[in-house]
Amino acid sequence: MLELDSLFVRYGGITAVRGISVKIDDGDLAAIIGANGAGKSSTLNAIVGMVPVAEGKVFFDGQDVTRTPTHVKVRKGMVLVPEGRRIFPNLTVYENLQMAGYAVKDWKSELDFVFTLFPILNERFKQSAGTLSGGEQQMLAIARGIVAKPKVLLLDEPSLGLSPVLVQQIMGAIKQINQRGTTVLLVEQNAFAALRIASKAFVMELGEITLQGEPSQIAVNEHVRAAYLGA
Amino acid sequence: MKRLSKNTITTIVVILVLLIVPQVLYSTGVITIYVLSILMEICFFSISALSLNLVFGIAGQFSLGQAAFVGVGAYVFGYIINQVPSWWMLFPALIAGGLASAALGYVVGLPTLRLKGDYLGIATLALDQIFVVVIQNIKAVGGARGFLLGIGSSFRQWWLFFGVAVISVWIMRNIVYSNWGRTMIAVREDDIAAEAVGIDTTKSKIWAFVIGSFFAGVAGGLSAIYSGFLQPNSFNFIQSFNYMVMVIMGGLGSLGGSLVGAFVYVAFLEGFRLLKDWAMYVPLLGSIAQDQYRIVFFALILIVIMLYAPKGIMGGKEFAILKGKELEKK
Repeated sequence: MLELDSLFVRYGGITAVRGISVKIDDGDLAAIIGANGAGKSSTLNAIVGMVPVAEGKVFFDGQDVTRTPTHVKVRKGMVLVPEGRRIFPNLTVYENLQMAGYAVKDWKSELDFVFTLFPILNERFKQSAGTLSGGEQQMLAIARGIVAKPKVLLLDEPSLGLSPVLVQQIMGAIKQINQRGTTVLLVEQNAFAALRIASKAFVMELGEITLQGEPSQIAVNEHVRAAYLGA
Repeated sequence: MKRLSKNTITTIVVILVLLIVPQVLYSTGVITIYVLSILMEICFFSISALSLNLVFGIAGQFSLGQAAFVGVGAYVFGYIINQVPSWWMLFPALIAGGLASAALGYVVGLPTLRLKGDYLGIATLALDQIFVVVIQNIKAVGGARGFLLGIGSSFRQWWLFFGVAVISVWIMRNIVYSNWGRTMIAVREDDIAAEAVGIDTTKSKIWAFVIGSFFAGVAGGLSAIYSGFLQPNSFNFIQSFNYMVMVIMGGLGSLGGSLVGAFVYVAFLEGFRLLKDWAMYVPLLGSIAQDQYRIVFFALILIVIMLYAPKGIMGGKEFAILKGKELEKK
């Protein structure tokens, strides 16, 4: 489905991602966890093409998409929910979703699912997105991802700045999206929350993948526990 | 046949009234050619303000070079109409001016639209400077001395200015509410998110720039008819700022705002001429040369407007006749 082959990302002289290789299968809910500056977001941005890949390759559905522009990848079914929500603040909730449906035919077909997942968005339908609360904005950002009908949905820190209850709700929604047949790649600092829903996990440190495997095993790993789970 | 909606009928009535009334008032001697000229000026300023609004207010690209695009349109129009000074050449020449401007917009936009915010502003400002210097050195159009259009005042007709303005506004309105326009708005709101939902942000920005340049060029053609004389300095960066003032004063991103902005701009600057007789008694003002005091008054008005209506006169709202389709309910 999605495969990274020794991927490097560089910003000037700094190497943010050092040759990582990751394979995600159809239907996976993969999580990349790690601390600030580990290169998680850079990896995600490189996959979708927001930052250039310095070395290595990205394969999607067996095709080499390393140099494919982001907007073309969206049409192929690779959709990013960017870090920090990035909703369109002066547009209404509806218009935000409409924009997300720009790249697909019949975007409204996903609205029912979106509104079962996040009923609050239906209530806020005509409100400008900038006036939503942080949690609602994150829901809208994810909803925008769903409307674009992705084969693989990439989520960058969806729990950022949310209260524990909301984190649970968002994680539950991500799980449901995955169960509906969408492959998910989740990047999270909140390792605990991510490992609970993931089917596959990668631990990233200083631009490299230091550990990968079953989330349940990673959750009990001494090193991970000490570094990320606060135990 | 589909029945016309109430909105469409209102629109048609408003347009017809505005088309006929000034002409009748002028023909019957109620208003002078001076007043009619002011109205013409409002027409082409409306087009250029709206074209800048498309680039800045809708697509969010800060451009300080709009006067260059107006200038290209004016000069191309002027040159063509001087070669073939006849009525049938009028519209082809106006469109040619627009197309020349659009072509320049494309060539300039391709490299510069990678820049953001202030940097794009500086680059487009430079474009305007370059334009003025280049025109000053082209002998065929009179260089720095400028050149006279050989058409006299026969083209200075109210219906022409008003008609072209209505068509331009109508087209730009439809663009804003089309898919294209939506992508431009998305780019303005958040270009990373726009890219993430599958919008080709580069293409979207360039289209906004090209379309904006086209209509700036058309407005330039009208301004050439209006003044009958072209001079490079009337398209310098000060003029770019004037368009910016109209757009921001009227309300950034609001179509009606640009029209109101152009109207208020022209109306106040001209209206202050009436204060000439007592302005000389005001300390300091009296010593300001000629009728430059108008600029002082206008600046004051501008400050007051910005203090009490920071989002512009229209404050992000829209006239009913310029609105898009109502949202469909889920």
